[in-house]
Amino acid sequence: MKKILYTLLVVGMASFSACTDDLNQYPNIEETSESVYANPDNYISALAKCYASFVTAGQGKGGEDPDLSSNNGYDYMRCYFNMQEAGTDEIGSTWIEGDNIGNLTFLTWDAQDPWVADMYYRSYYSISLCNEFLKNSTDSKIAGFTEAQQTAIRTFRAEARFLRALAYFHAMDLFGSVPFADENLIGSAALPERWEAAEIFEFIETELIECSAEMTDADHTDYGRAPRAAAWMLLARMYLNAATYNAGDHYSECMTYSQKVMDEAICWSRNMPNYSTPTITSG
Amino acid sequence: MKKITSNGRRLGMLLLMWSIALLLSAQQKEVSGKIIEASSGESIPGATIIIEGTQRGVISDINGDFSIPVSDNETLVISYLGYKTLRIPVSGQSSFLIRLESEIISFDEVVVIGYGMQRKGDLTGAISNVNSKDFNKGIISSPEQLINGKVSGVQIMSNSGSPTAGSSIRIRGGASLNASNDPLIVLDGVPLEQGGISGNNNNFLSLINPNDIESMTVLKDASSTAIYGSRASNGVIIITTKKGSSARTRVSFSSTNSLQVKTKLADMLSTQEFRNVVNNEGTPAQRDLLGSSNTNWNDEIFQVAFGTDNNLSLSGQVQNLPYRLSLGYYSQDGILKTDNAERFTGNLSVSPTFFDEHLKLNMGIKGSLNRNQFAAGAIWGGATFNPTIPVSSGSPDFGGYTEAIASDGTPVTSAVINPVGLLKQYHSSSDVNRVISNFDLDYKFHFLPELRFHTTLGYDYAEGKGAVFVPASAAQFFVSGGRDYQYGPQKKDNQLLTTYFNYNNQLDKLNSTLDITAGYDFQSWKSTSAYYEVLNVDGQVQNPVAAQDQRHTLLSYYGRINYALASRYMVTATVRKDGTSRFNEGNRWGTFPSLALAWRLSEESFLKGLDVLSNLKLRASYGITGQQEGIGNYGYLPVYTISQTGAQYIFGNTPINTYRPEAYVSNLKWETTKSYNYGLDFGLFNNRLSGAIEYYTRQTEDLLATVPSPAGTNFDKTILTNVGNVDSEGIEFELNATPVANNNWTWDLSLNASWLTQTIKNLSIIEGTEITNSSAGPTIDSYYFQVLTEGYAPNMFYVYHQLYDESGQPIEGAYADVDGNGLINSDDLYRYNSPAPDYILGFSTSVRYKEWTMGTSLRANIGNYVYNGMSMNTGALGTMSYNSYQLNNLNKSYLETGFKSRQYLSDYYVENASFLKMDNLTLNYNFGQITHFMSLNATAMVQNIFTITNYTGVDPEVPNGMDASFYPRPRIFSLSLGMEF
Repeated sequence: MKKILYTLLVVGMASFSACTDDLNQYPNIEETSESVYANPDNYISALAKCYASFVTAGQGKGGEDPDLSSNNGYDYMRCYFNMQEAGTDEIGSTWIEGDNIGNLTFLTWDAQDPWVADMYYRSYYSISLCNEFLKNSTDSKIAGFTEAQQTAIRTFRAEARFLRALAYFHAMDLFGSVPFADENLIGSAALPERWEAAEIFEFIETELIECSAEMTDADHTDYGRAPRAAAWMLLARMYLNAATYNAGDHYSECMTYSQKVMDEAICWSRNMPNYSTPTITSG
Repeated sequence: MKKITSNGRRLGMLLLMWSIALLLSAQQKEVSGKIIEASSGESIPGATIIIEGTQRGVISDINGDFSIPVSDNETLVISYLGYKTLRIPVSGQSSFLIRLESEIISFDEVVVIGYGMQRKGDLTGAISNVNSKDFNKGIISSPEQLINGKVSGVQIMSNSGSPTAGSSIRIRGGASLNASNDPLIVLDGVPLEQGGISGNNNNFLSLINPNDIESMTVLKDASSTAIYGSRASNGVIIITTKKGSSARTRVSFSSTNSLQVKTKLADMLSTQEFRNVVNNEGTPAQRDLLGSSNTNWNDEIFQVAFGTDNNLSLSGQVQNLPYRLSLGYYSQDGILKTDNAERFTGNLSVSPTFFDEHLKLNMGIKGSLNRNQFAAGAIWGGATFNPTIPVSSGSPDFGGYTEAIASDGTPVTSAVINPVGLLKQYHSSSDVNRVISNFDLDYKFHFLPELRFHTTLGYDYAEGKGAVFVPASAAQFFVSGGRDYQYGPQKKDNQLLTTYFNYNNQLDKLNSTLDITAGYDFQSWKSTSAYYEVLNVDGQVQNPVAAQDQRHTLLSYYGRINYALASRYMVTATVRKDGTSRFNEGNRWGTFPSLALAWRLSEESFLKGLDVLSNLKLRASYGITGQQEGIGNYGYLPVYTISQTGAQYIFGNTPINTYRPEAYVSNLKWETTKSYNYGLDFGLFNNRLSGAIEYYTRQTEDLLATVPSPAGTNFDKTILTNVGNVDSEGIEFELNATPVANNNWTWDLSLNASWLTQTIKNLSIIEGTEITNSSAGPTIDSYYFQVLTEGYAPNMFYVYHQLYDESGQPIEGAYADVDGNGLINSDDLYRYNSPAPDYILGFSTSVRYKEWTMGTSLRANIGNYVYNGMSMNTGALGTMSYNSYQLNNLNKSYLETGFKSRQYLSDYYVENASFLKMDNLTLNYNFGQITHFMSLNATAMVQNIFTITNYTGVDPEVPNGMDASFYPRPRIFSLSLGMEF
């Protein structure tokens, strides 16, 4: 009987040496950035999030599983619309109390206002998503893929730069001098520096000119993705208002790029899928 | 139909338990005796004579005489307060003269501590122990309520009045800000899973039957908790369940049945006041929405609720096998209609010993089946729904309930739903099963009996699932066609291996005792839940919900040395090394040491002569503990989440599921707390007056806090990371006294008081950067009301200072210009008090007169503030109507403020919520032996008797200091019968 006991003891002791490998736990359902970007097929899904971040608020239907843990739960465009319009005569809200847009409507907002704070963070959320994509789609990171895959990803990359420039434009237009973070900063412990609006302007300008050269023309762009004319349009719009950002007078560039957009002659219906009317659904 | 089955089941349970109880009885003869005081020879009336291992007993009469039926092989146990308990075998004798000797209260009583036991007199740390006899009485939904108000430094608050809501437990206020502040709970050696499960998110601990609990030990200071290392910062509660005794078979049965009634509700306008406001201040369109009814919506949604709690236990010994078996059935309706929690528990423990007690085994299995019916959130509607319209519309649409209908005939988007329709048309139930088992092996080595090997295998498994049904016609999901779906099962699996050696020896030559423990723990957790879809009644997918699979592991090595010299000087040193899977390899291991010293002054020769002093002990301890709960399992990894169907982005004709990077902090690490504790224990007059005073300081470093993420650096607006320090200090005081103890009367009282203050020392992500205010706490319409700021207490209200006119009326939108720059903006917000009380007081007392015992316990918090969210959120004219089809009732505060729009951030709504509550009042009559085989005990109780407070909202004791649609805590009247056979 004692023998059995001591055997039990030895077995018990053996368990002391249970391996510390058990401390290496990785997600079983979710992926990690390493596994996502190892597969060239995943790049389109990562790019799609950059796009989707402008119109949806989460990874579940109707904004469920929200992107940002602490905000209204509304998406980028709704924040942007309210910021742009609620303070003007262009809309008359019937739901000021319920939608809590009194501050915007009566021009009494400040940084505490939920719409203002959310818009600020939503634009930087989109910027961060694009930065993360750009950080993981450099030439060296995609060197192992086929030539065709690399070409496709380079176009994605140009679009991500466009989307980042768009979000920066909104941030600059709404908030003026704002922090600057690019793909070198994301994931590092460093803090972004505050840039003057004119510096942000210059960055956006350079980015748009560069990325538009790598983006597709309207004829060769899928529905839902941005053609190069989108970048030009954004340039034209920014140039028009350049003085507001202390970036001087850029009317001639505004004309140049407006002309380019018109020359591209985008026809709405050309690349639309067979939807009778575009619809926007919400939760 | 459902109601009938439920009641039928209750009745069935009751009958079953009764009949098992009545089956057991025995046969006896009559013996008699007299009880006298050993020294004086005076007779002792009122002493208790019990047959060992049974609950049969009598009390000696005025002359100290007694008689009782016994069997020859039984043993009499004679006890009387302040005297040594005697055991006298009957052995054929028929008359006894029993001499009781007065007792010096022993310090040999042992207390369960982490990985072992310790004599009370040898304790060096701040430890409070509550035994079953001192537990709170009444209908107890969950174990933590047993000790509510009983232990200094421990704050237990039920989250609401719903039977499906749990409690929050804070030991010394918790050490963290946003990471978990919940203490570690160890049940019979098994550290329990924190958090909840699908179908029981808030009340997981309630799956343990409170009636099976023998004692609860609260470890408060670092010296006693550090043996639990990385999970110890918030204190530890060790729960020990009842075990079989080696005595004879004993059956006991208790049944408590209660009625719960609603207490204070949100203070809304009466129907007439409401009419006046609408008529005088509403628009013509709003006046048109007034009806002719007079509906008290709260009466429509609340009910008198019935609750029952029944427990049957059987304990004894079969051959060499002590066992205890218990069954429990609990069912409690909520005062909100359709709300119910039901629990069936079974608990078996066997504790055999072998080889002259060299080998002790203990096996325990606790199972519970829990079924919940969740009520819809009708409390808001009950307060605000238009009192001038009737419950039923008279039309069959929307289930026949009056709803706000838009011109197209559908319910108005975002309208308040008829609260009665909301309750009656919402069917949400869940089934949760949980099994907690432990197997202990304790072996005293034959060649060295001072050395023990102990191992515990623990397994905590739970499974939760549920179903939701809402008819398509109901207004709540009218547009999407109702709801009909199941979720779960979520499965939680927690496995534990504990092994340790313990060496305990009396070193007589050195006049010392030495106790050394060294061990190893492995614990792993796994939680999975299946993918499911939220479906409408037609089976169309409304929302897919992703599957979950979360795992983590903890490896630990630990050791402890207890050394006592001459029972006077004591040292305890512990160390624990923990490795967790939640951090990257470089941060994974942490070491948590502690040291404690104690000095029993009362054992010193210069005090030994002092008869009045029975105990005097000084204690001091220092230790470092950790905290890793409340953060994700993979928080240091760059995790990507794929989107669900319905959240895709379309490229061309193809919907693409998107990949989202989650916010992460790669160098996440433990939060660590360094704490000092100084204590003084004292006992006077044979310990009839005893108590303890504690003073402690605590510094939490690498604080896990949710702070604003600098824009552009991460993938969220806020991020949980190691950012700062919080300092806290506190004083605790406990006093227990038995001022009167004689034949007819016993009076016990106990008092505890705690003072605690916390200050945030540092909260910047980057050292040396400007101080940031970090929003915290609950929100209304995404406004935060609380803030974390360096140099201040955590979670202070961050509001504008309201200005008042000459008549004392608050002026809408007029706030103090705190920074004096002529502008009123967010720079003028100021920090105004916090929800945490400065003082927590507990008082309980009981008075026995002969067989009658009356007891009460009271609790007070002083200096806690509450934001009266209901008053704000329904207290402006603008809230009377959010759409053109509906009126909402207003809070009475509107009559005082006259606000047109809600003033979210006005300090007008932050109220002092100091309170005194009488938690319970009990009256017990002990019938004693009513027949030769049964004794009976009856109790009448009232819980939540009164609250004295200046706070104007529903309840001054609300989670996070936010009173918004709070489910009121009911007043509970109950009757309880206890029987022993």
